[in-house]
Order: sequence, then structure tokens, then C-alpha cells
Amino acid sequence: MKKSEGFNSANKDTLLGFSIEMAAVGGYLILGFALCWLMVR
Amino acid sequence: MGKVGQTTFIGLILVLAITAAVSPVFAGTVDSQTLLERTMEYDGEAVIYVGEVIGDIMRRGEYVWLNVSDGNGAIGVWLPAAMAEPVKLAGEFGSKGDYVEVSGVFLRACPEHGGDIDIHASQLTVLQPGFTTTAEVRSDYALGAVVSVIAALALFFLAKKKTRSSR
Amino acid sequence: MSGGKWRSFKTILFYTGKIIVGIGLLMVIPLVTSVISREWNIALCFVIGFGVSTAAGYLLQYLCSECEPRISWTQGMTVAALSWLLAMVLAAIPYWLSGFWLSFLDCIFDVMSGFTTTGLTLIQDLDHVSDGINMWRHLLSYLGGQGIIVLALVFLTRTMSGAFTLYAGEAKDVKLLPNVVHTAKAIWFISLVYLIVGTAALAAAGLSIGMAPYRAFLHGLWVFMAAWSTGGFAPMSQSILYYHSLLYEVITMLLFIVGSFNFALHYAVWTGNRREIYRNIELVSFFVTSTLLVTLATFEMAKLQVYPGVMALFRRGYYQLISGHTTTGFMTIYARQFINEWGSLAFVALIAAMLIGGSASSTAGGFKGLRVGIVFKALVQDIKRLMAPDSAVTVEKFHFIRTQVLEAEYAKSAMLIIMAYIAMFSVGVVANLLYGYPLLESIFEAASVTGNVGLSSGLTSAAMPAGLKVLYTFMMWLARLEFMAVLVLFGLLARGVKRLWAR
Repeated sequence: MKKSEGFNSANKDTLLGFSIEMAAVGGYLILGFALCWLMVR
Repeated sequence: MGKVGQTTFIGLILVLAITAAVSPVFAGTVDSQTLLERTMEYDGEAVIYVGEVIGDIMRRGEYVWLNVSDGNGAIGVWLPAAMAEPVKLAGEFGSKGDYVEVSGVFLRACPEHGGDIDIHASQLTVLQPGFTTTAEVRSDYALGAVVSVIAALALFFLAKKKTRSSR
Repeated sequence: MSGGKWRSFKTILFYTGKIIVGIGLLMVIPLVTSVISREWNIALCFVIGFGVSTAAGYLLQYLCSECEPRISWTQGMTVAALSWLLAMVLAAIPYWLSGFWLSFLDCIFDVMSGFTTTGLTLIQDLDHVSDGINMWRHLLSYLGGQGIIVLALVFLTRTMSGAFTLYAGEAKDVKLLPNVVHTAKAIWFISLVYLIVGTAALAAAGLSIGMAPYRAFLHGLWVFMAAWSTGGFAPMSQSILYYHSLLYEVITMLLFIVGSFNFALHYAVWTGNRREIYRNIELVSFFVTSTLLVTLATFEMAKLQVYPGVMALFRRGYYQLISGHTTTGFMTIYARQFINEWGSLAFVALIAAMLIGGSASSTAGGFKGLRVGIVFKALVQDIKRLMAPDSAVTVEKFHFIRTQVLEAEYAKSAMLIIMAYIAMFSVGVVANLLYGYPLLESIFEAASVTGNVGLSSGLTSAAMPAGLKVLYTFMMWLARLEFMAVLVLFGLLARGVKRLWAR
């Protein structure tokens, strides 16, 4: 576990963090859509 | 009435009856509350809906979305851009949009538009063009504004002075 | 003795005064909006609101300037509660003056609905409301959401700060918890990034669907603020259905789901602890409950053919379920359709989703995923205990930023709060029934209020009895303030970890 220096500002981590969150939620929505698709088949 | 008159009369009734039977059921003018409460009943029916165009006249390629409100509810109307041409003003704060009469098919869960409630219009008439209203500045509000700001400033200085002296 | 108590009281009032001034200053934002949109009378409403609030705030400061230099934690909490109530009244002044509400009680209802990020509204003629008023509505929701997070994290750091260190694994890494300043900076940075990106995305979407640029921007900003705070106020009476746009709907879903996440999670993921996104008990809980409930609801909807095809099922069925589960309250259908068109299973699934809610220490309401997860794991632990031989010691763990031991007191606390929510929900249902409303609507609306959701079956309206308006206002406030209980839980967690590592 790496040492935390508290919050500084925008850097590679924050950009990645944002992308991870958006990707996770996007994936979740796609899953939801797939579920709907399964139901109407 | 003579025999000819009677026959003509019966003939007319028959023609009307047959016409009514084969025509789509015209529900007459229906309001938003009725439509939204009895969606199943009106699903797929031809309706006449009257109301004010609100918000935005949303052009999507060759078609337009209008949201029409009759005061109790607003329903989306989908129509070709050419049919929407006479609509000029959408109502918002300080303006009343064009008052329109829409004839079309009411859909409870429109398959073309991802299951939403809408009316696919076959005819649109602008009954009354919209207009903007310029409200007069209220003198009582203006007075209230001045008084409250003066009070706030006065108390601000009082509080600052007291806080500074008590430190 | 009485002098000391009086001084303590004065301290509370002094700081309350400061916050009240803050509320007044915030009114400058809708004031400027009104001026830009040339809504002169509305602008005056906000000048008056600004004047009255700042005057009241400075008056309190003037009268109570002889106060203690430092403020204790209990005093701080009292300040929070008191300013909340005062702010509720003061923030309602511009509403009242604007003429878009039928009574001052209705205005207070809407302010509370905004602050608690609920989203139920009693506003009249929303489709013709002024930009200034719409700005204030959405700003209140946004601030309500942000405020809770700041308060929660301040409380958190106070409980966990001091000589508190964690040893993880064999590496003996010392990880100091972020102090208040860093945490606050992080919250505002993350919020700002989402504010800019979210507003831009929605504004661009608005332009692409045929809105005028100024309106596209304002709606983008407002819908973002409502989505991020999982509030659910929308600029138009048809909510998100107004836009008739899949793109708009998808963006709102992305924003309100991410907005329902715990802020500690945001902090973790944005500072390199990326695995938190799939290890966090709340996300796991939300994933499990939402998938289960969506499956049940969509299965029935497909069977009953409520919606034609996958896209309709996604945009009307799935959307409302996720909007409810995250306690946002955006709608892409009309209120009466829940009652008239949805089947019983889908209806029940939505009620459950609204009550379970989102993440703790976020803007979402409901039981919270943390509690649901903890209770489930406690159940598993009990079953394991029954099956294991008497000598075995069963230790159940869960992951919330850290992997930690599930102590008995966590499960007990979680269960108690869930029961408190259920009790409040029941009171809501009974009250609705007493006032003569039908069963389905009574259940639906009570769930919406309890979970600070904002979906409506049509029961909530200006025509509602005043007693019910007062009850809902109080319920929304109580449901939102529960975060105090969440943080007691966190406090227990903190102490528990300390004890564990001390062994």
C-alpha cells in the first residue's frame, strides 16, 4: 500500500480515476441494456 | 315526408353509419390529464389535442419535437418539419408560446421513440400565435430590495465593528 | 454557570449567523442569472432574499459576538441543525416572492426537498418558470448534496484523526488519513471536474437535439447539478422525458450513478487506489441489489409487454429503476404510469430499490448499501457459526477502503438504522392512507420520501393536505440527517480497527 500524501492536484492518477469511474458506470449500463435485451428475446 | 324523402333520409343515415364504422375513432378534443390517466384506453387512437408550445422547438433533421402543454400536463408531439413550420414561438418565462391544435395518433409507448408517450401529428394548426409579455418592475419589490440591502449593510458594519473591538 | 451556558449558546448563534450570511451570498448566483435573462422582478426577489439573509446573519453575529474562540463538536452539530432550519426559511423567501408557489409552506417544502436532494416539488407552472428561480432550485439541490458530503467527511476525519495510524499487512506501511483541508480540497476538485465535464456534455447534447445555445447551457448546468446531487429536480415539468433523447438520458444516468457513490470511494479511486471500484462493499451491494431488482422488474415488464422492445424497456423500465435505486428521481415516464401501467412485481421492485438507496456518505438516500452489505455478511457469519464446530472462531471481513473485521456492533447498528427507516416508511404509508389516498400511491410516495428519491406517483401536489406537506418536509429532513448515524457507525469502525491492530 503506497503512502498517501493527501490530495495535491490534477495528475495521472486523477485522470485515470475519472476514466475508471466512467468506464465502470458505462460498463454497468451496458450490462443493464444486455439484461433488458435478454428479457425481450 | 314522402316515400322518396324517407328513403333518402334512411340512405343518408346508413351512409353516415358506415362512414363512422370504417373511420378511425375521433376522440374529439382530449386534455392532457385524460390522456395521461387513461393511456391504455387511448393508445393508438386518433386524438385532437390543444395546448401551448413550451420550451424549445427541437429540430431533428426532417422532423421536429414539440412539447405542448395545456396547463395541467405537457405531451411531446412528433411531426415533420414542414408541418411544424407555422410554429414560431415556444413559451417560457415572460412569454406564451403558440397555441396549437394537433391532430394525430396518441401512443402510450411509442416503438419509434424508445417507448415514450407521444402524439404523432398528422395535422397541426396554430390557433393563436404566441406573444411576449414585459412585466413592469414592481415598485414594492424595488423598495423592499433597497430597504433590505441598506439594513444588511448597516448590520454588516455594526457586526464588523463589534467583532473587531471584542478581539 | 449561567454565564457560561449563555456564552455557549451565543457561540452557536454566532456561527449560525455566519452560515446564514453564506446563504444570502449564494443568492447572488440566481440574482446574476435573472439579470442576464432580463427578469427584473425576479432579480428583485433575490435582492430582497439576499438582503434579508445577510441582515439576519449579521444581526446574529452582532448580538452574539462575545463568544468562545473555539467551537466544540457538539456545538458544531447544533450549529448545523439550527442553520439548516433557518436556511430553510430564508431560502424560501425568493420562492415566495416569485409567485410560483401557492403558499409559504409550499416554498419551505421545496427548499427542504432541494437541500435534502429529494426532488419532489410543489411548484406551479414549472414550464414557464424564470431562469433565476430554476437556478436557485438546482443550486439548492447541488449545495445540499455537497454540504452533506463536507459535513460527513469533517465528522469522519474528526473521529478518525489524532494519533491514528493503520498498519496494513506485513509491510508495516504507515498510512495517515487525510486531514480536513486535503479532504475538502479533494471533494471540491472532484466535484469541479465533474461539474465542468458533465455540464459540457449535457450542453452539447442539448445543442445536438435542437435546443438554443443559452437554454442548452442552462439546462445542461441544472440537469448536471440535479444528477450529481442525486436530487432529481428538473427544469421542465416532464422531467427528462422533455428532451426525448436517448443521448440525454444516457448522460444523466452516467452522472447520477457516479453521483450516488460514496465520496471516500471517489477519493480512493482518484488517488491511485483503483481497485476500490470493485472491492468496495457498497458498490458490490448496489451492483447485487440493482441487478436483482432490475431482473425481476424487466422480466415482468417483458412478460406483460409493458414496453415494446429492448430500447423502450431500457429507457422507460430500467431508467426509472436506476433513477429510484440511486435515489435521484429523474423520470422518463409520467407519474400515473407507475400506477396504471406497471405490473405488481416491477412496482414492488422499485419500492425496494427506493428504500435500499445508494451509498453512505454520498448524496443518495435510503438504507444505504453499506448497511445492506453489512447485514448480509452478518447473516452469512451467523450461518457459518451455526455450521462450524464450537471451538472454531469465525471472523467475517468486509472491504470499505480497508479490509476490516465485521464486528457485532456494526451489524447491530446497521440493523437498527434500517429498522428506523422502515418505521419512518410505515408512518408515511399510514399517514397517506389516513388522508384517504389509495394504497399503491400511498406506498410509492412514502418510499420516495423516505429514501429522498423524488419519483412521484402523482400524490405529491400543491393540492395535498397541509398536514401531509409538513410530515413529508420533516421526513425528508430526518431521512437526510441520518448521516449522523452513518458516521457513528464509521466512528465504531474506526475504533474497531484501532482495537484490532492493537492486539
